[in-house]
Amino acid sequence: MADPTMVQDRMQAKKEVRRIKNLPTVPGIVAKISRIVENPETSVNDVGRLISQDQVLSAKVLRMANSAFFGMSRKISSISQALVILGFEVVKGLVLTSSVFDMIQKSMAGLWEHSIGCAAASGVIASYLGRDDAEEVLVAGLLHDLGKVVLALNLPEEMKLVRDKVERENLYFYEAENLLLDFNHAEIGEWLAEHWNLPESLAEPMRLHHKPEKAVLKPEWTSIVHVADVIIRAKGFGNGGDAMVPSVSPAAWEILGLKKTDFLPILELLEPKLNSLKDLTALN
Amino acid sequence: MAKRVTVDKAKPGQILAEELARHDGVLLAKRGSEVTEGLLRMLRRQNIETLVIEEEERRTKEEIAAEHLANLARLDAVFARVEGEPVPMALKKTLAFMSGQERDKSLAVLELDEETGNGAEGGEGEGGEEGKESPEGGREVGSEGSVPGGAQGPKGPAGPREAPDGDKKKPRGGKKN
Ligand SMILES: [Fe+2]
Ligand SMILES: [Fe+2]
Repeated sequence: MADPTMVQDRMQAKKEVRRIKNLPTVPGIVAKISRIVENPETSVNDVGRLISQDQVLSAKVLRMANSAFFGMSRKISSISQALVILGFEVVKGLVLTSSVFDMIQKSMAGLWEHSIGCAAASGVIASYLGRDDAEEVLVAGLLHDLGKVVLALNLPEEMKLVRDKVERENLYFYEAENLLLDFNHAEIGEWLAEHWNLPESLAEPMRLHHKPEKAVLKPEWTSIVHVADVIIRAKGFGNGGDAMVPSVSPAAWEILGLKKTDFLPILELLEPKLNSLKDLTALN
Repeated sequence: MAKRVTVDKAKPGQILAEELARHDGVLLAKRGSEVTEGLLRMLRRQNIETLVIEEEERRTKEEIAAEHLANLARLDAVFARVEGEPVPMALKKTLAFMSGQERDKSLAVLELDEETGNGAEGGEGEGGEEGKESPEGGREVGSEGSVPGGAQGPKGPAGPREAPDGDKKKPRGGKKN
């Protein structure tokens, strides 16, 4: 069992998570967006203008909006247009992702690729199932492992211990976290989502993508992200900190109504997306 | 495999791996269509600088076969902890099948167990069994012999031993292809 000196107090960990506040602009722009949106007078153009003020950020957002993620037949050339076409929540998710891009890149080699891969797979599964919220599910996939970023940046020593243990004992990342820290990136993700005021529909997959059977608000979203996470590890695209393929939750499988023969068409849809997403691996 | 190239590097006869649209969104060429001189001229006129083409197959048969074996070995290694669980195993088989397809379409066979049906892929004749490819010697790679301390998995789901789609009697046509 874990060395008792390594066992962290949950409250302590929660406090550690609060330190995310001191990290780059992340919550800044996202918080601003949420604030101006509360005002009923705010128009799409206002939101567009706010985001466009940060040119570097908007360029990243537009690159993602025009990537294989969404397979748009028309080029999206402005933030306002993105807002109209993809919807507010999706653009906000892309803004969030773009503003934490550097953090994700820095935190862990391969995590960015794991994240965009899981996003693409989530989007593919959602469209394959004929859902009309595929873009939003995709964003949930993009953010699902954000807790790992916080762990890497705020608790680097613990992170190193976790990675060593994963490596040595062939564990899943969350198993090593649970053993060493008594909490895992899914819970950190939950705290983070709360702290950043992310919608519960995004917070739930962050919290429960390793136990999707617990999801209540949008069980389908969490189940899709769960299955996407399994698929993307199996593909070996990127690296979320552990190589082993985990079990597929029977509850998630059932909620989605998937059959084993669905893997082939899903993977065939995913393959070309992953190939063109290699463009996104350096988003600067 | 697809790759992005500049218009100058593109050659007639190559295949578009992604559709091409003008900056204002008007579609110029569909995915899968052939690059022509005319198309390249038009792209220059429209100031479109890059396009995504299917990469030509430059690998030899041996390289592809070796890559396929490496893929199978990797799959064995990363699926070691869910060996025997029906859904992950179906995923593994599907990935192995797709890898085999790259090597030789006529040999690749996808067999998922009875209720998920056929998948008897493209093989005209060929009696494709060989394509199932029990990974010769794949085992030694990666997994370091140890199925990791299964006992200590703390509260992780013990694994879906009962297939969720459990009832064995719906001989599905397998909607594939
Ligand atoms: Fe995770
Ligand atoms: Fe993940």
